[in-house]
Amino acid sequence: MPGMAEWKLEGTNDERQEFKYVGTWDHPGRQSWDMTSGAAKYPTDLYREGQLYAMCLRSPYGHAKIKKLDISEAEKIEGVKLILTYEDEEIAAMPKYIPSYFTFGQSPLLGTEAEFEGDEVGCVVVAETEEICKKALDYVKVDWEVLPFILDCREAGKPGAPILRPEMNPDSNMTGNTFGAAVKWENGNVEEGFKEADYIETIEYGRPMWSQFRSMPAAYFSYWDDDPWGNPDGEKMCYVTNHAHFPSNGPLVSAFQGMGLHEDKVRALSPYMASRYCDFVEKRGAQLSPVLSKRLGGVPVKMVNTRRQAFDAAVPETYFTIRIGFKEDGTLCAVHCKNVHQSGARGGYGDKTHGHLVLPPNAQAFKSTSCPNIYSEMEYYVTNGACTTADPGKDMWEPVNLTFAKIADTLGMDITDVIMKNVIITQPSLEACMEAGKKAFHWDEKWHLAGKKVLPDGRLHGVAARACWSMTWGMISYNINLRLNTDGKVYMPYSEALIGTYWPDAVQLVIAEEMGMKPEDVIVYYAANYPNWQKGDAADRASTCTWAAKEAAILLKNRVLSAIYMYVGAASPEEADIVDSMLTLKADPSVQIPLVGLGQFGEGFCGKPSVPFQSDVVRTMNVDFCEVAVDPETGLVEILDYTAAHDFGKVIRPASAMGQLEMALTMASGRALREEIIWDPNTGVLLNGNMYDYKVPTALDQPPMDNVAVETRCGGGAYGSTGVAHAHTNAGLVGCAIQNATGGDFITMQPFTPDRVLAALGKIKKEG
Amino acid sequence: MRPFKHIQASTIEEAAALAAHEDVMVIAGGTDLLGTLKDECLPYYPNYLVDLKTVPGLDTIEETDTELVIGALVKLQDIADSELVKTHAQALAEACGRAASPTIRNMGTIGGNICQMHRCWYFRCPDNRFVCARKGGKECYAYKGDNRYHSILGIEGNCLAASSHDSAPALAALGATIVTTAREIPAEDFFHANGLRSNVLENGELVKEIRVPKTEKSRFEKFALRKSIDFPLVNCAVAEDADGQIHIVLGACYPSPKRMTDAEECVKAGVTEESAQAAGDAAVSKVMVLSHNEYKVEIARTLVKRTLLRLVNE
Repeated sequence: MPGMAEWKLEGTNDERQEFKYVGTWDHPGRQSWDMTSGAAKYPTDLYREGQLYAMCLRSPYGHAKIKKLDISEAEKIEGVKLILTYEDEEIAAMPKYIPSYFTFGQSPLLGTEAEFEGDEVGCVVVAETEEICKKALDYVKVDWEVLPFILDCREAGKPGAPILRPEMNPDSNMTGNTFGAAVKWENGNVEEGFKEADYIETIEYGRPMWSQFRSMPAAYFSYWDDDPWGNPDGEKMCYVTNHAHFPSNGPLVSAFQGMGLHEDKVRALSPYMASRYCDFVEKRGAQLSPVLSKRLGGVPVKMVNTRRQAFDAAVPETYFTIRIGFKEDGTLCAVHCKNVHQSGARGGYGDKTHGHLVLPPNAQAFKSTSCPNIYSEMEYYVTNGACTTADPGKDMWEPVNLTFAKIADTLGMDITDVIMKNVIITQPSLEACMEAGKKAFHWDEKWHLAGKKVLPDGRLHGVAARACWSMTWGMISYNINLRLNTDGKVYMPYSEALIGTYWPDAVQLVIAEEMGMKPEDVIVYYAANYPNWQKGDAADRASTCTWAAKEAAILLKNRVLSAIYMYVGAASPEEADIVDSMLTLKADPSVQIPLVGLGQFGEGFCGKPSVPFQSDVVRTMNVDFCEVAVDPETGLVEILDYTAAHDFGKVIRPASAMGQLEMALTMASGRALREEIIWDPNTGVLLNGNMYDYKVPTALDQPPMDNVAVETRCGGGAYGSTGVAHAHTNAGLVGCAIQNATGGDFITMQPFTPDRVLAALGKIKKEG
Repeated sequence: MRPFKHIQASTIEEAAALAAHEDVMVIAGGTDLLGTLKDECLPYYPNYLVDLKTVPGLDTIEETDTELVIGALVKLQDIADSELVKTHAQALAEACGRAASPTIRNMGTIGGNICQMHRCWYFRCPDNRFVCARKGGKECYAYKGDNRYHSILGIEGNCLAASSHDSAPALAALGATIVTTAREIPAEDFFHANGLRSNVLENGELVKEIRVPKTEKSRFEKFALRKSIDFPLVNCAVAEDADGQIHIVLGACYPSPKRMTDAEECVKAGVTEESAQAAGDAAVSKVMVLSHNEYKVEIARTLVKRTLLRLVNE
């Protein structure tokens, strides 16, 4: 079990077995209450007297360049306050925010070249109302040069394809639509591995672009007002909405860096971001709105998008061709995996100001199998298919699970046996998940060979299982500061934009547990600009941050007891304790005094669990099961049961944990059966940028679920906890269940819509 | 959404007179219109909206010996829940109950449902990106574009959009009559790709009520990718008229709901498993599939069969 031996538990992880609050229900979270009650304020809700509105010019073409821009008529419209163009010196001079890795994703904050339909380009208008902004934009005269566009990354990679970003690698002999050589690696000897194989099969897998942030039009709000300390340096304070949960208020950093300020002159507004995840693709508004406000003397400026402009593509398309060799007993012995991946219009995380990129994981997946001979290659190309993240997320397990399904189907094996035979790491987690999940799903009663079961209503019945690791991205330290105030309550500031990850609600329970406080006496509050400095992904919420919260709570409790133990007659700190928010004498728990009025005590912890970097160490797993009914006459697929057995290590806040599972499986079901971003092939115009045509699941579409929380204490967070992260949002499992139902070919492209199912059934011709 | 002036009409005649002006649109439940205005998908924007909700007497369901009389302002959910409609025009109750979502059904009216504009994503593209033939352009962009949801039964008025009303095939199958401020129009003739409209109404002509012949036997089926808030990929209504003849109407397969007379011939002698299958086959025997919508043929074939079987088996 690689990765297990050197990993050591810290703090109270291996000691605490009894929990008073952690893992128990009925603790209403602050965020949950805010969002469900409507109390939460989002950037669109913000308003100040005298507020102006701003909107950008948008490209009507899939790829185009502004040859000439005339704003003279627009400027004459009553109510227009300011129009800035790409020629504005301040805008042009704003440095680009470069968070990490690469710089190739950069392009001007407001340039002349639109890289996708709807791209912000050319100019930005500030006016008294949103309607006047639109009217002014109608009067902006643009002479466009329409350029060739590409929507499919496979097309972008072909020799002779139009070059979309010639500046990206001018000296390269590559196609020009990529920014680096393919990621390649090989373990063992693949050709030798194929010689040992009893069977050799080829698998095709494709995933379209998906939307991820769609329920709320984003707005960026900024104004300049007096510094609370009276403008000691003569400068006002910039207030601006915060749009990221990492890294360290990224867009905010962009804003103040762009204006040549330091962080002390910027205050973040509004923590809530609804479903917008990191706001990767729209940070320009966060950078532009402070500039626009400043140019107008500090008046509030809200930069807005229409609901369609806010409908982002975010998850990139990706295509795999995998040649596998395996033995009669189901053992995988050779893999040749080739992946073509879309990196988005910007060559990385969508925004013009970002070049962030995480690619290699797509090529890593087969490392978690026992297969000794693996060749993996990943190419990545820009397209004009809107801004997307380049991050392949957790989908690197999709080809692995498809491989297991193919082996199982070919050999007539139970796929769960194939998984257990070929996944080499993460025991005891994998075994625990598999056992719990099979039991909850009734796998042994449901599983059958492909194409062998018809339901009484004539529909075809199928089941499938898949495994995935729960990555622990505890790679950057997390900063938690706690203060016991004179009112006897513990306070913890946080500053991230909140998108529904609920980590403050989870750490509240950890702090209460460790300090002996009642949960209601642990106050987690929004503090603009407080640097939690966490970085990573959703799994971090239960790993790095709960870890840091636990450590900080232990430190604070020790400090408090050391200072006040004598007030209950204890001779030393060890003889006193804190119980239900009261200082308590251990020898006689009836001797208690409240913590109120005992002074202020503060402690902090900044750090992370001592675990190696992400993908080399995987300690916890999750296994999903899916049961479908396929209508052979219409191709409609219904999910009858969806079960996730997820090893949380230790569940901190059950409502959050199980809610994340339900959310993720619902998301996966939508992606599997309906969701895809669709572009007009002839113009590059987005066709389904709305909630009707982009078919996100409704409440009635949510599949029945029987989810199970597995607790092996093997995670990297507090008490061995870890998160849910993206693991269950993979859509491929449903396709494997469909194949088990039809007994035919695996469908090679998601989503598994009626046309593709009917084609798999031979009722209509296959696409292409 | 851009500003407009809101006028509350007192009578249907007043509303019709106002609606005759080119910069006026009418609003009832607003569930279709407001989204259209927010997305600015039309070539022009109205300066005035005439509100019909203030016109009295258009929100009732009444019956005569032979008909149901449904006011244009009756909410879709009220029709779905009406015992009168469920008893005498079940297909219509089922169709209204499957339209959109509960929230929209509680706002949207039957008049609005039959007057809603097509859901074609070229026609509806925000910011009027595609000036298609319906908007004065020269072509239907769906023909060479992504037409997975479009017509499988041919072109109407240089348009390949699929009719998107759920109530329309039910009304056509039931032999309903649309009563407007100017005339009475058989439902079968009411729907048509007509400029921005999906019907044959003229400027200044408004729907007042719908007269639906009573029948004990009618059914509706809808195929959509989602169970709620989704427009039909295919829908189908069947109804037996006073003479015992079965009417079969397919929706979402053509710019207007289409009566399938060849299919009706197959079940003239009665609906059986075999004749229903034959009717399904006949319904799709003259299709004109586009590059991406062949699958809809199978769905239409199946829906005709299943709706007919429901008619005799339930």
